[in-house]
Amino acid sequence: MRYADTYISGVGAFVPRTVVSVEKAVAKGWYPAEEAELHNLAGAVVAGDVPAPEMALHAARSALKRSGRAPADLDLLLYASSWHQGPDGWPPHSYLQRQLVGGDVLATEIRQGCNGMFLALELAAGHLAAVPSRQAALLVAADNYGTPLMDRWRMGPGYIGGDAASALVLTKEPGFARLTSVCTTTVTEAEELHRGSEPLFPPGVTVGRKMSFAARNEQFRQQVMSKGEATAALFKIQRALMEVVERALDESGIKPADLTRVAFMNYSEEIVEQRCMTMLDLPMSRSTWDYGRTIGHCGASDQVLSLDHLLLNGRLGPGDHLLMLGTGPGVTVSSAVIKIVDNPPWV
Amino acid sequence: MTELNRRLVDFIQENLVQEGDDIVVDETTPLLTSGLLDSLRTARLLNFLRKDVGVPIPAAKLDSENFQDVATIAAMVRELETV
Repeated sequence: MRYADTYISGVGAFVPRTVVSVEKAVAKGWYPAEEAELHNLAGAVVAGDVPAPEMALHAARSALKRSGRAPADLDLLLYASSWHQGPDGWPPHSYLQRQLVGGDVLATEIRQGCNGMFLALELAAGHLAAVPSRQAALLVAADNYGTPLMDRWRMGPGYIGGDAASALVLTKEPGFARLTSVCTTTVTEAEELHRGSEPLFPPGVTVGRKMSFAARNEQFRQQVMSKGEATAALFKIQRALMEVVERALDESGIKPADLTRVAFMNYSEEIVEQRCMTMLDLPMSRSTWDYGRTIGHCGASDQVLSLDHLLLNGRLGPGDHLLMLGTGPGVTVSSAVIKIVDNPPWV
Repeated sequence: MTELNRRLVDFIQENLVQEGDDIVVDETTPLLTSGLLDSLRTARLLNFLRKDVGVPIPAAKLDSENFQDVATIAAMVRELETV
């Protein structure tokens, strides 16, 4: 979807200072040495017992302050989560309503796994555009994977789970960057990739079943459908990735060579290189992998954390373009293009 | 076997067949039903075609029919080369 006047006015991030290195995880037997060798990841940031909604509040406050907007200016709050946030049934965005934005802002949780922020961007941009008086939206993502029933070191093929939060303030009035396009598509043939052969009922967590996408991916390949069907579905995911990139670049009026940086998910070196950078005919030096490999795959925050890191290190300036790209359960595939218009006031 | 078919067979055997899979690749080895082409290995094959063979495969051509085996891939590549 192409956008004419949708801007990013604030970016927030909460990245825990504690990092558990891959070396330590291998020494402790948490992470296989051959995976360390194969994926060349460096470590994962760990939040300990800091709840995800607390991290979300920090990131949201920072984004709002940096945007120069007041909570009362907001028309929408979208909170993207991929793992449990707090007491079951309790909505995590209500914590931000009470602590920060108040009760008059339409607020809800987005559950689209690691692509949650892309869905939030598309929904928020449409929401603001629908009514002239609407001015600003706060988008937040947060996860803490350091819980029972989840093992961040065996979470999925080619990545390790990091704990963090991120936030964006989207506005119709000009901000430091313009959101030129967001595109999402779903490869429905691969729907079972993230549930494997697990029964739909009762839900796994209610019977204390551990969660691992790695295990479910393996079940999908081996048992769920014929090998031919399963492979054809996985084959389509790469095609969908190419298509959403082509569409987002086309809607933004640019070519891959115009991209200053590409922020994929914080996955293994080979996955980022083969599935993303080489597909775009761009070198790894234009990716955000060098940063991503040090914090781990932080749910729906990876791309916004990379944006924040690039801005703070002066690696994105006026006229530059950033492509954000990701896949999530469903299997959904999303892309977004951001054009930097001005140096952010907080840098 | 043509030179292109030979290069494709060798690339797939060396780069897409994993240890433990006892698959000997030839021109008609079924790539999809043998489980060889997941999203990462599809990307590796597409990058080989673009960079080493010099023929980029557009997304529109990424149908399983065109990637049944080396013979069908080679036929698609030759067709794209003449475009």
